[in-house]
Amino acid sequence: MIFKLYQTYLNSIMPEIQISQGAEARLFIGDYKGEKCIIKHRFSKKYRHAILDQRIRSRRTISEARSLRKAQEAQIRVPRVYEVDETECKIIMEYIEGITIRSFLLQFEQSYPDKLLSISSRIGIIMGETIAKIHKTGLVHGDLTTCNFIIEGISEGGFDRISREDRIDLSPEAIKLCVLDFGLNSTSISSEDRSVDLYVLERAFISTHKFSTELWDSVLIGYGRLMGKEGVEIMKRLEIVRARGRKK
Amino acid sequence: MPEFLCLGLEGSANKLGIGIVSRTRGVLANVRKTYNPPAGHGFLPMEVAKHHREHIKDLIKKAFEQSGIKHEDISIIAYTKGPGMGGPLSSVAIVARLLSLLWKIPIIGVNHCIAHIEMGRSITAAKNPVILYASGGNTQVIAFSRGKYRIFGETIDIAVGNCLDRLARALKIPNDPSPGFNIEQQALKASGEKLVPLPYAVKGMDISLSGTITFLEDKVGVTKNYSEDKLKKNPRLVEMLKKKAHDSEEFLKEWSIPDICFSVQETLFAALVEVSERAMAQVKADSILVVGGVGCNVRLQEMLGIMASERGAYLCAMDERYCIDNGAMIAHTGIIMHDSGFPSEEISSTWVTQRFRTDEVDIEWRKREKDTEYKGKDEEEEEDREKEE
Repeated sequence: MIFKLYQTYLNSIMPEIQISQGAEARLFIGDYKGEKCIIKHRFSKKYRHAILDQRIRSRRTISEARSLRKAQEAQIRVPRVYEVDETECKIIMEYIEGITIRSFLLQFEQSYPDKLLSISSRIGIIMGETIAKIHKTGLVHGDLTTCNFIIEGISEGGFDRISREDRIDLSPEAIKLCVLDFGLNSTSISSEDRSVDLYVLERAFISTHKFSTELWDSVLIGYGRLMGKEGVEIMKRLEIVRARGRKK
Repeated sequence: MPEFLCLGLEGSANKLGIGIVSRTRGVLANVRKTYNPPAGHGFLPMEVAKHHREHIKDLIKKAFEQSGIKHEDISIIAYTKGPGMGGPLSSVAIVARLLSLLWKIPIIGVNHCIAHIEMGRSITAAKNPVILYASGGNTQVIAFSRGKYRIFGETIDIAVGNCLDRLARALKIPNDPSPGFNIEQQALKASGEKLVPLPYAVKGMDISLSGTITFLEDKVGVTKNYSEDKLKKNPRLVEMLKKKAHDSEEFLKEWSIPDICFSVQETLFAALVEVSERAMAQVKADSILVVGGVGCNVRLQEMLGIMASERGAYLCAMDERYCIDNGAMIAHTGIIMHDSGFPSEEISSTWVTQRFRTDEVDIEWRKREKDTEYKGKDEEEEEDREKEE
């Protein structure tokens, strides 16, 4: 049923604009019933056996869509899934207006170097809380980076102007985070998987951000606050994961 | 000035390899002897070490015959320091040490993985490829960055070759000339229309393969041997074993041995190619070099070739002489290391080690190259989002 609907719909939204090509998927901007949308297409790989290729792509598509829905049900802000085509391996989802945390922090560093530390800690705590919410849902994101978090309501290009006029509200209540890209997610509640999830983020921090330690510490504060008792176990596990970090 | 010649000794696994390489003339000799256990068995380190001890003298003689040079002409000895199996490594290192003392020439220890990479680069003339190193003991995706060969992704449990070896053992496919080669031949007989559903585990840049072999060993009925006594006392165990035997009979009725071999190759190699592609995207590489015993597999080479050409890149592959463990690669790397100022070793430091990571070695000889500035995944996605605006 959904599939048929999608087919007719697909014809109506052409032309799409491709905005990104990764190793696994292409992203397009389209229009879904009058709303700007993202179409994520996991394209076929010719080197793979056709049966295996279809299996891998469908499975990842379904798993991503399912996680997005699950996260949404748990009141975590993620792009809304409009339609899923398991055969074509496409997901049509909401387009999120905003700026990635990575971009935000890098631009903030340029404009307000003296306030970077305090804003980093503030954002870190909210990130930590968001990750805790994801984990509590029984999901593990699998690819946490500062690029996969979007601060809604701030536009990428307009950052400079808006912030200079101090029209931007950066109080903790006003910062709304949206989580993207559940392509590598899995379902797990084990401390091992959760701590690996955190470890991936920690490594991403170190390579990109100033005050990465402070940012990381505040993530753990926010995370620990929501995870409660479970958090203690995960922190212990994180130490083990760090120690064995194979690619150090 | 006399010719600079290096004698290379390799024996980190079940192959004993002796190579003689000249700085100017290249490979003069490259001989190998492989220890093959009977079908249904794997190789034990102790037996491999014995094999190497038995054959090393004759193999060295053969190498000198092939090269047409005298031992007095050898300038330096290179041996495998690791990684590998302890017993075989040390039995070869003893000979290297002995010859160094006897002929009064310097000795240098070489990292086995680096030797594979350097030989591959030399044979295929690939300048700065992403390297897929797939063998019986190692499965890594490597790229040169900031003075070292960095490991971008690797197996988190067993190596791909190990997985194939164990499959051959479970299906009683012969180990001669190599289990991987025989699996490849079996796979060619498959129709290719059906595929056994096997676990496929890519975790970011890493892969996991142990699930695949556990699944198959279970399906084709590899079980522990229980004593008669235990079976008599435990009727439920007998029942369970009967059911298992029946299940595996059914499984083998549905899937022929060629089908299984074909499916395993397709699934394992797809995972290898996927992580290789991720690494290529990350460092924006224009070529992929495949080394290691599994790298001889024609289907793997074909898959890597398709992936590369779809990215506008190309594949660098070699034949079994240099893909499979060999002495020439150790000798070749010995010369490179010597020329880039690595000091020859004191006899007391010519130990061997089972664990010796690829990224532990400073690649002095590539220091002068412009460093590969690679963009992290973050930055790429960043650019994508910028385009969006």
